[in-house]
Amino acid sequence: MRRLPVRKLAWFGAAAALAGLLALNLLYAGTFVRTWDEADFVFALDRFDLLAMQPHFPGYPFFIGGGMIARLWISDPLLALTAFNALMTAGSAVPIFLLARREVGAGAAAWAAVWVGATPYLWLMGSRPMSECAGIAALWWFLWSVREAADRPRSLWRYVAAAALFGALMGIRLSYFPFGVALVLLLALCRRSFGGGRGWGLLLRLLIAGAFQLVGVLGLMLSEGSVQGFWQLAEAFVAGHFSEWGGGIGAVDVPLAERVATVFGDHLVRDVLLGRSAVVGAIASALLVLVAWGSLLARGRTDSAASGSVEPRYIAWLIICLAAYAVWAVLGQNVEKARHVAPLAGPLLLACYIAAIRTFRSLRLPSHAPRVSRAIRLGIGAVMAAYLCAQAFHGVRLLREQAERPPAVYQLHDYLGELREPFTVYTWEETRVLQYLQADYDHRRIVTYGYFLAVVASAAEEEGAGRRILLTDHVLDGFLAQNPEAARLAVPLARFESNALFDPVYSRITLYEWRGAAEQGGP
Amino acid sequence: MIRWLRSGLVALALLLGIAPAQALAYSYGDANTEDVAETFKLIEASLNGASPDWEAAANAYKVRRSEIKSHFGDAVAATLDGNLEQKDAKLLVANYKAVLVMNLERRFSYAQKGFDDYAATKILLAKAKATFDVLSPYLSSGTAEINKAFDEALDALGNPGLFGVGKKASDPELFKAKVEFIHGKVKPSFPYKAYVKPADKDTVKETEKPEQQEQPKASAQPSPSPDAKPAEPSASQEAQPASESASPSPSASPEASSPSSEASQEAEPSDTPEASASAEAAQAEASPASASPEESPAASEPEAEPSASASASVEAEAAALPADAEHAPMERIDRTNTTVTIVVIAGVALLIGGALWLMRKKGLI
Repeated sequence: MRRLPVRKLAWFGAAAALAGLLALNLLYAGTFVRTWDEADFVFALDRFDLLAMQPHFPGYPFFIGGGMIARLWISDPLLALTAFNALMTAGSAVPIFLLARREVGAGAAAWAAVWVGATPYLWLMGSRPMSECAGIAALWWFLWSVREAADRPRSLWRYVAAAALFGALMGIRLSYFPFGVALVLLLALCRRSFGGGRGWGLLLRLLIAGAFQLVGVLGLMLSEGSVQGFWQLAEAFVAGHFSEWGGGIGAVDVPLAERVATVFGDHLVRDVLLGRSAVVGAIASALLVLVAWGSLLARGRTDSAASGSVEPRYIAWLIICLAAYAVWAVLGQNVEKARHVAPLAGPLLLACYIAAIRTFRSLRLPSHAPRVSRAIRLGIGAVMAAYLCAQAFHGVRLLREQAERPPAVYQLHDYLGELREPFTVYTWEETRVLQYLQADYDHRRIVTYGYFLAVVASAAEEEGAGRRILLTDHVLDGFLAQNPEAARLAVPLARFESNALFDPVYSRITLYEWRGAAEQGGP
Repeated sequence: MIRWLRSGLVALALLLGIAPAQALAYSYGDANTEDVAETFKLIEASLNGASPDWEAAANAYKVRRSEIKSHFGDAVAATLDGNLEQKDAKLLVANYKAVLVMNLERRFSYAQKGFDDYAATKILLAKAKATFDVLSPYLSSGTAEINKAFDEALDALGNPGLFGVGKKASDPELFKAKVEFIHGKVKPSFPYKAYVKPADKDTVKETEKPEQQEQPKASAQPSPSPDAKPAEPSASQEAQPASESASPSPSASPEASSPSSEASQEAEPSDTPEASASAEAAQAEASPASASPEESPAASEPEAEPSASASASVEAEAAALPADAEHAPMERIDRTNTTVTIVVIAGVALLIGGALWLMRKKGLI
């Protein structure tokens, strides 16, 4: 029997799968602007203006730049950004492949990219205009460049590549800065490899890293006309942040333990890794069990075909980077949004895949328990295939839902557009999306209860009861936190819902009407 | 591996130390806040309802008082003080809204003056927008139009673009047109009622306020009445000592010096018979000389009704003019000292470098 060209088949299969992921992303590219951030990014393609929050600080210069380049091809700004994201995600398969190839060989490495890329949450990000997607893609490139540079610490060019990619990463998403620890570790390795010496090499490398950061910052500065102008803008932001009255009332203090549980339990495991699918969860748990059992059985056996085990140094580095980012995600980011913890998922998935493949291979070798080994080996193979299938099905279903079902804010907008009487609606972050939708009714943001009462009272005085006052449940919850009596005059009108995986905070919107005290007459 | 873990944790600690603290955590730090408007929100909220909190309102107002006084004049500050004293909530809020309109005007005029400085003009426009946002709940209609005008004004500023992409040139004429449209629409809805103390000062206050309003308008549109401004102070100053060399001066000057509310229409026919009654030799001089005090009272008539004391109007203008000149440096948000910034950054860099070197010596890295 002719030996099947397994490697070639694996290669082509993986390439086809990746092409399929890209095609689906472009086909079902998002047509909705779901959040404040997305509205900012889409506006920024028309007019890059930090002060007008287009985009919000710190500016994401390379992300918007990439979107502008994509706009040469696709004129709709939303689709242009989405296409840029989809292409970046597809491109990030290359560094994943290169990283995996060191550990598991070329054929299996190709499927490593599919393994990571088919995770619905990460896959679906490629069909939305959020900076996370391009950021994670850039992150993969950066991690690969660090690994390459660590192989030859004396080579300056490899270091330059790593520093340049870090500069690109910071220009795409500044909040991934904790991964800069990798660069620091690389510098330390370089320093050690120089032996003695006076440290000029180190200084040079530091300067190079700084220079690459400046490229992005310079672009931002020039977008404000001059360096002086940019400085004024930064000061205005700082001043504005502290002088906004009632701004601090929205921020709620969550205890640390709860934050950790939310970030890792709810978001990392349930949302990002599993995509809120019980089936995938079951398969993944089965896989983990089998891999653990198999590796226990296979310990001590060496596999001549596979390369040596991963150098512990790089495992340590990866752990440190992930830990740094995890600390930042728990302490410094909004814990209500799952996308902030998404970068952790990729390397974890890759590590899991590599462990599974190695266990699979080493179980092939002769051992003292051949039948159990074979069974576990088969099990691992089957479960991995099942995992990929489940992720694919689940992913396609989610992709279609994301593209076709309007988010709650859109439903709210449609409802409000149908109302005949004049009204004013008070919202929180929904107002930005309503601005994008060019809502012609009166909508504004409000946070403080006392001010709300004053405005309502004076409006009632001037216009009588002609104008309805509507507010969303987020506003009302904010009021309740300030004054438990606030819900007395609020009457629910309508409720809108969409998938919480896509709209983390605003997936459930309830519209209330504020009935004046006179109307609230007796029973 | 242990070594790497240890050094890695040290690097982590360092990074966390210098990392931006909670930059994007919960609320978006908004540069588009206008302090005067924020104080209004406070005052409005505390005075609303059955039991107004006068202390909170007074404290909030005190913080803003110096800014209001220096930008809008003593009269306005005194008016608000008076309203506060008399605990007239409605009037205080109404007058403060008028102050917000004045603030709009102030931001617009400085934006037009320094139009070439892109970043500064943008910030001024943003503050004007923030002021308007606070006023908009009280406008019964037309807010959509005005919001659109703000967007068009922002567009008219041009844009340097990102790395040059998306560059747009600025259009000062369009900007001027838009901001004037906005001001014109908003102003009538928020009238200002000067504080009426039981003394004679109210007339002076009333003349001062319209005078100040017209002042920046006049500077923005110099073409219609080029001589109005220089003519005014000179004419009203001359009106008193009546420096007309013509002989009808003793009779002409009392006419010119008190262009009373008996209407300049009367002054005109009374002047001209005077002029014609004057001596031949002085007629040539007198007519242009009387023409100019005629013009100026006619010009200042709509502006300063019972200008009982031209001196008061002169004072107001004199007060407005140098106050104007004082404003320009105050508008700059240049509160940093570059030297200090550089020294601080260098100091931090030195500290971190020293710490790293020390750790290396101890063999930690």
